[in-house]
Amino acid sequence: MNMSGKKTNTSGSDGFQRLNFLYQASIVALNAVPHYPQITSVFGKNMISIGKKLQLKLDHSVKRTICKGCKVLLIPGKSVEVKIKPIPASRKRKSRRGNQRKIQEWKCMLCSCVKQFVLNPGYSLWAEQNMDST
Amino acid sequence: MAKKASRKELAESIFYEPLPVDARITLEQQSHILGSTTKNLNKDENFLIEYMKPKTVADTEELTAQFKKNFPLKNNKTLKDNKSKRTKKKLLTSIEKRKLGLHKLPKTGIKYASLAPLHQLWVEYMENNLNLEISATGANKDGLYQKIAKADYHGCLLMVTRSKCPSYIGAKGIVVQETKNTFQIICEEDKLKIIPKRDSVFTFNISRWTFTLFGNHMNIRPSERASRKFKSRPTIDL
Repeated sequence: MNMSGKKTNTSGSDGFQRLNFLYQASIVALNAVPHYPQITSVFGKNMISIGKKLQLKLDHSVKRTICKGCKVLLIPGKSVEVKIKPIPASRKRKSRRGNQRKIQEWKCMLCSCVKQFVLNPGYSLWAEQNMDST
Repeated sequence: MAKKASRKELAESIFYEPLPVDARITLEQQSHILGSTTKNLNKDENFLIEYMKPKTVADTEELTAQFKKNFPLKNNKTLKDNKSKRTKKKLLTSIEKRKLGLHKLPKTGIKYASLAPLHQLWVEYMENNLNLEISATGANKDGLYQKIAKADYHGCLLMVTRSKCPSYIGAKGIVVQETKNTFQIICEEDKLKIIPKRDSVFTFNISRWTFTLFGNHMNIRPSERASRKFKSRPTIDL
């Protein structure tokens, strides 16, 4: 998005519009055809490859809702199981405060790929930090 | 015993061919000398336990457990499974994708009516993207054509107007998947139709404008279309 609010013909704006549409379309498609989530993998695949072609970065919130394996849109309860787990024993030694921390695990219902996010109170992503400062 | 033997013989006659007489006789003789193998084992164990009992404090159960352990002469190290298996499973192979049905959509089962919101969203996106009220009236339409060529067609209500194959003509439906060579549309009869782009001409409507797409010029992957520059080509007749 532009800071000044004007519509500019930057190289990315077309691509961003398309990415935005694809993401919204995948949500709509998943709601429309809940019994066949594979339909959204086309949108996810396109989103990633368009991003690569035009060198546009997907936002982390978008990126985290696309399955790494099958590119299906991940919506908790519909296409993912979300669980909160303790940190696995193999990783405990590396982190000092490992015992307190927990992991949020997203398991895709279709291909059973797993995404893990460490739950760390008081931690904000780099992208979010930047947004606040500017 | 005699009964058992007869049963055994019956079973053997069903499953196996009878042994030649010479071999049978020699086998029987040998078995007399050696005794049956299972009996021998039991004898050995009993003997060992009796031998060990006065010399150790351990229970008989422990002893028997000890005796049952195998001590292989050759130490076969089992290969570590961790190396062959990927620890974190990410990215699927093509075979796995095919099994999950990511490449092919089902022929029936997706309903035309349920895709209406998708089409509505697409119309909104196109209106925003093309900005028709301004661009259609302008003199120079190159920019508009570029945008049409680069737009996304998932959710578009396409109709085939001309085609080399006459059975495709008149097919109408909402695009659910676009590949390099095909549009896959859901028709009003809730059926999936796969229409090749080559040698066919499509039309679609946005509010009061109608557009024609020449499939011959669109033989590119939808994601690749985003970054490619299109040259104006004369339309080739089918």
